[in-house]
Amino acid sequence: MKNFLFFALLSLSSKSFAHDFSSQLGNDISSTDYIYISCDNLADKIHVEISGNKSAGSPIISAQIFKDTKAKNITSQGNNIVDFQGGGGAYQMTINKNKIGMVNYTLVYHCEDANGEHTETDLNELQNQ
Amino acid sequence: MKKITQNLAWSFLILGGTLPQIVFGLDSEVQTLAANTGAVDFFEITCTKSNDKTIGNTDHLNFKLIENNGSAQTQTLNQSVPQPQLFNATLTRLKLNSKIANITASTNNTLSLKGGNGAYTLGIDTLGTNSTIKTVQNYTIQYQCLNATGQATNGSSTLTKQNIPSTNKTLANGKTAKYVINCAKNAKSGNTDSLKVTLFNKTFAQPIAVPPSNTEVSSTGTLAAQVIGGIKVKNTVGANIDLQNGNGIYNVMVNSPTNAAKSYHFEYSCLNSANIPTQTSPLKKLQDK
Repeated sequence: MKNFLFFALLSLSSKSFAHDFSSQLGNDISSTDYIYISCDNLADKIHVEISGNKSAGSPIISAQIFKDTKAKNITSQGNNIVDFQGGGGAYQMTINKNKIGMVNYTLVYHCEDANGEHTETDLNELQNQ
Repeated sequence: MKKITQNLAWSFLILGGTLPQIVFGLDSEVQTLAANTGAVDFFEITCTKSNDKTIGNTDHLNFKLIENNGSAQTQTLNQSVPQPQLFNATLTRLKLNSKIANITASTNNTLSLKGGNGAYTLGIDTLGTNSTIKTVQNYTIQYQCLNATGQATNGSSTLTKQNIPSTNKTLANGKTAKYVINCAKNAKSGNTDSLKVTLFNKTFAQPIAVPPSNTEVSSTGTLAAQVIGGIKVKNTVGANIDLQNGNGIYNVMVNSPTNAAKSYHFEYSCLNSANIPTQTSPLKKLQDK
C-alpha cells in the first residue's frame, strides 16, 4: 500500500556521501515512520532536510531528530533543515504529520566531520506507517 | 461537556466491581514549548513491574497531550516530589514503648527499647500515606537483642533470624502489621538490655498523581507529541494513545508543526494488560526548549 524508495548517491569525493530517503505516511494521524541513521566515529554532526507537499491545507510533515538527551524538530512547511551536532553514533528520527491524509516526503541527510566533509552514513528503518 | 466526559472516563477507566484499583493519570505539570525554531521538549518515563504480584508487568504506556488555554502558572504541583508513602513503627514491651514515624519510601530508620529479656511487639502502620495511592508498600525488618554494652544476646522471631534482614513484606495502605520478637539471656553476653529494630521502607516512590483537569481543552493541533518505546513510536496531536512496549524506558517528545509557543501538559500512566497501573517513575525532563 505504501511506496517506499531508498537510494544513495555517491559524490565525487571518496569520503562524500549524499543520501535521499523517500517514503509515505499513511492516512491515520498517528502514522509515524521511525528510522535511525548511523554516523561513523569521524562524524561531528548530521545534516537533515525534509520536503513534502506545500500546498495550502495539506498536512505539515515534521521530523524529530534525537540523540542521547537532545532533540530537534524540522517541518516541511517551515524550517526544514537542521544541523544536529551529536558526534558519531546513531541518530534517531521520527517522521509524522499534523492531520489525517496520506503524504509523501523526502529526506536528504548526511553525516559530516568538523570540516564539513561527508562521512559514512547508514540508514535503518525501524517502523514504516 | 464532551471534555468532562472524556476526563471522567480516563480518571475512572477501570472503576468497577471486579477490578481492584482506580486508574489515575500522572501529570507532567504545566510545560511551555518556546517558539524557537526546531524546539522540542524531551522527556523520559520508566515503567517497571508492579510491587504487587497480582498486577505484574507493564504492558503499555497510556499518554494524552493537552494544550493549556489558560495561564501556564495555574498548576504549581511539583512532579519531582513523591507523594507521602511511609511507615510508622512502634516497639512495645509491657508498659514500655518506643515509636518512630515517617519512614518514607526508599529510606530506613531504627528504633530501640530497653525492656530486658522477654517478648517485644513490633507494630507497623501506614498512617500519613497519601490515600490516593492504592498500591501496597514494601518493607523488610532486621532486629538484634543487645546487652547493656551492646553485645548480642539471644533473639528469635518467626519474622526472621536475629541480625538477618527479613524477606520482603507488603502492607496495604491503611492496614497494620504486628510481629513478636523474643529476647533472652545469652550464656556468654548475659541478659538482654534492649531490642534494636531497623525498618527498611522498600517502596518505590510514586510520582505525584493529579486528577485530570476539566478546565483545559484538547489539543488544537498547535502541538504534537511522539511517544517512543523500543523500536515503536506513535504520534498524537491530542488523542489518547497507548504504546505497547512492556517494562522499560519510554521517551516523549513535544513539538510544534508551526513553531508556535504553547503551554501544555500531558497525562501518562504505565498500565498492565488489564489497564491497571503498574509502577511509573517520576518524569525525567531531558531537554526543555
